[in-house]
Amino acid sequence: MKKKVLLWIQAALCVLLFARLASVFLGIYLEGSAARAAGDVTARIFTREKLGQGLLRALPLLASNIAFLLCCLAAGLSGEKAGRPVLTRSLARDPSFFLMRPSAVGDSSRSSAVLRAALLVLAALLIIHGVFNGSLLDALYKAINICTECIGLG
Amino acid sequence: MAEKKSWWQAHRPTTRRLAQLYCALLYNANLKGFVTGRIFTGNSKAVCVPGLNCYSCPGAVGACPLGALQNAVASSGARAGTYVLGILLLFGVLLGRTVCGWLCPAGMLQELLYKIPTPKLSKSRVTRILSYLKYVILAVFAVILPLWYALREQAAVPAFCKYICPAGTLEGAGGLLLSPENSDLFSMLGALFTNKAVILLFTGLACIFCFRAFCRFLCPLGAVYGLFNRFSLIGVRVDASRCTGCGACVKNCKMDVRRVGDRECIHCGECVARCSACALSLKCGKAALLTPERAKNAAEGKPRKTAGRIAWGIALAVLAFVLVWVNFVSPSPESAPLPAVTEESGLPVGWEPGYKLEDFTTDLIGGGSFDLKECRGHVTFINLWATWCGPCVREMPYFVRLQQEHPEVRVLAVHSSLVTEPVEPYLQQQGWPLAFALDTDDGQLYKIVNGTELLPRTVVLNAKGEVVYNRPGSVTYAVLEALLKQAEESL
Repeated sequence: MKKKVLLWIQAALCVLLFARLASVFLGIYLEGSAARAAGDVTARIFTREKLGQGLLRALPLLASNIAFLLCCLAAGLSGEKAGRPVLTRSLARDPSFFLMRPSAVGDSSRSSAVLRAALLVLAALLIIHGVFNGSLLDALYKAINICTECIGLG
Repeated sequence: MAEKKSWWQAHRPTTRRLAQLYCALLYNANLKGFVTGRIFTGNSKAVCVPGLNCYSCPGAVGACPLGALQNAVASSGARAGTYVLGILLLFGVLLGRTVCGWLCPAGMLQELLYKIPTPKLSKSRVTRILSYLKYVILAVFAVILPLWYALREQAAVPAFCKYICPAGTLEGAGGLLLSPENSDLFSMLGALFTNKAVILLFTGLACIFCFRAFCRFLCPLGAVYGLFNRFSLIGVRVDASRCTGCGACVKNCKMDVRRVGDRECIHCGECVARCSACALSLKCGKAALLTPERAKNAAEGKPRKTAGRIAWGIALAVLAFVLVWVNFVSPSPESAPLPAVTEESGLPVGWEPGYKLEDFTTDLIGGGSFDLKECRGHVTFINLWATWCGPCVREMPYFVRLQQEHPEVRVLAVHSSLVTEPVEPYLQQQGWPLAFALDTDDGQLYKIVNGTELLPRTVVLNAKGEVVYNRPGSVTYAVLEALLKQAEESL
């Protein structure tokens, strides 16, 4: 019972921390958008200072999370139930959900090996074709340049 | 009576965790990038790594297969992306979802978050149904949307990277923003960044309560590899003669598997140690990588065999070589020229606001030339773009409108020296009535305005040739008008 309570406290702390962080990002965004809506279309929404201050406000929650986590770990607390199945009771009672026919598990048949070999040859041919048709260079160019929108910067 | 384990024996990292850590380091070996804020631009980036690892991360030395797939789909009008398809097929057939279990840094982060002691969400029919969601995401965000944008707007939009990928937000955006050298990147953060940051936080929170929540429900790369799981070279195999059908393997598995080795199995090998009948093993073809005996030895903390030690020795030597090569031997991208003072005009020459931009002359695509000196007396907009950059293509009509509504303004769009498709026919097809130039092979024009790997970039000069704005990131027409006003008022 005591263990369960500790686990729930840790869960609540995690949720609070993530909610706090989300509110920091949303708060800065809303404040910045209001400034832009007021007419200054080139105004910065996020700045290093604003983000730093916001994250600083979430620091007490982060510290309490870490402290509680260390206490839980020192007490040998784990969220997983050791040695017990990780599925819901209804599922555990329903053997038809799992397919445990040994013949269907792990395929090392000859047909599978042939298919594998054929696909490996196809993969090699595609890669060689890609080297000559320029798609290898495409992959390189995309990887050595940053498309700002593509990583969510804007 | 069970022997009491020491703290180290109970908590020491497993071989799988070490492999995950090793891959995270190997994929992100460009450690100096986190300090300089510049991404690695060596040729190794043409090679896709097996796991999900953003190639815009300052540390990344290889390409992300998922990002490369979306870009290949987006450029399928120009050429078939056979290279990426071949790479995915190769990884799929050789490794299947072993990549997810052993070689993916994102998987490692999710498992570490799951270690936080909280009540955990058990797998159920709902989680099993949710595991199909990643196939929907694969189809919609990694294939259909990039293709749709490519056909409709001739723009490359990797929709999964742009709207969802938490790895991109954490490694790419987070990694770049951390560096003090990239302070001007903050200017472009807005709705998109907020949206992605919230998705990252939500995914992180979900991973605390639900084992590998991102991997199980959202990751399109796992969906691709899952298709190959049944016949991949490496996988968990069952000795049918020993299997008693007790189901302990699937009931204790934290992934949504219905049978060992199905599309959800990440070949972590935990079931190998759990099987009381010793019917399971992790195999590469016919060679056993993890047998019940070895799994039990590892659980009891017994030392590894010589072959394992040799393999780790070789792996560490490779990592050391890559770290030294990437950080100390491989040439770094040239840093931008530092502002210098010119006596001629009395204004310092440079690319930052307040400086006078260095004069240049360039040939225009389709004939004619552009001389910056001749633009004195006019506000001048210089846009850095590329055909393969989706946001660059989408913002170009704003520059066209600016030119049409303010004919006195000079606009020059400079395409990156990295060309994936012929620029002139592309421009003829688009019909944008602007002055377009192609950067020199050594990137001379980009260097003048401090153009880096970040695209698009807009530079605005006032009538005296002074820089009033120079930032990367997309612009809208309203922003361009505001910049024009700012340039006019700066005199």
